[in-house]
Amino acid sequence: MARIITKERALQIVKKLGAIDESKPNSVHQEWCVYYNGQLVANFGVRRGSSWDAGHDHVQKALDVSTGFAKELAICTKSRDDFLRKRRLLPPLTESLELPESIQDGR
Amino acid sequence: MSDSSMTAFRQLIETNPISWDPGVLAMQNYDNLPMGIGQLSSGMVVNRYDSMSIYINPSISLGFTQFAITEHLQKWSLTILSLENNIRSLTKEMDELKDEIRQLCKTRTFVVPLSTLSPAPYQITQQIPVTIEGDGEEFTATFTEANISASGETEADAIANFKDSLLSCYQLLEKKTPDQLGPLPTRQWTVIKGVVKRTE
Repeated sequence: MARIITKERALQIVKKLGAIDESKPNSVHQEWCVYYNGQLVANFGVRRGSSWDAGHDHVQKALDVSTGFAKELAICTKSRDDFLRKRRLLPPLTESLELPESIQDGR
Repeated sequence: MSDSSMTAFRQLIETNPISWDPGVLAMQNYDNLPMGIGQLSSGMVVNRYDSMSIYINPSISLGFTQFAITEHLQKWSLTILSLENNIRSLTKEMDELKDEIRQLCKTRTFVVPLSTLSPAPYQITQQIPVTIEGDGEEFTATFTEANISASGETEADAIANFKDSLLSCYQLLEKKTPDQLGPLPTRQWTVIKGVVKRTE
């Protein structure tokens, strides 16, 4: 509604997620599908013929992520792996278990 | 401070401000506003703008050859500049919050029961509750249970786009075998096939 995800950003998300176009010929939407290990994990539509700043705030809902996450996905700080982790398809990143050098040295 | 000291002080600043006080210069150059010097009881007031002033404690030695006062002036000048920056940034944040509040006030949310998919050869077997959210410029239609949504510039546009998305999703998912579907599409398919059916 506030046009956080515009068509331009939606297409940036398409590129970032490596989505595949599986739209039917006469549809008003281009249907983009995200696959992981041969499984469809998410799909969303991008309106054909709309202007670059047309609102696509439905994309984050279709991806089942927050608006902030979708925005970061579009503007480069989040990656496809981050999305897969969010969808719990990849294990979460664990913090290093190594102790800091100062503790190792007994300082 | 005596009148003669004050006059000497003014002369010193007017004739050679650069060598005397870089802090004062910073204030003068910040936005090219002039700075005045006055006297208040036994202390000294350095004025900047109409409403802002620095009061120099009379207990500080005001000997012109000493640099203690310069250091204080410099420190205070920097404090004022930092306060000004903080005020500017707070004002900016407040304006942004006002805009967001205005947007939220304009936001409307309501539920529309969807009962047809015509003219496509598909039928809805039971009414679908579609949530419409909009702020007057952009609308989103969502079937939350199936996690399907679409946007549009008007409510009708959003609903039309939603119908198209629902059918696209149906056609996409019906072609897939269960092992080709991840958790989210599996949930979508379970809900969609319960409310949409092909009539031909």
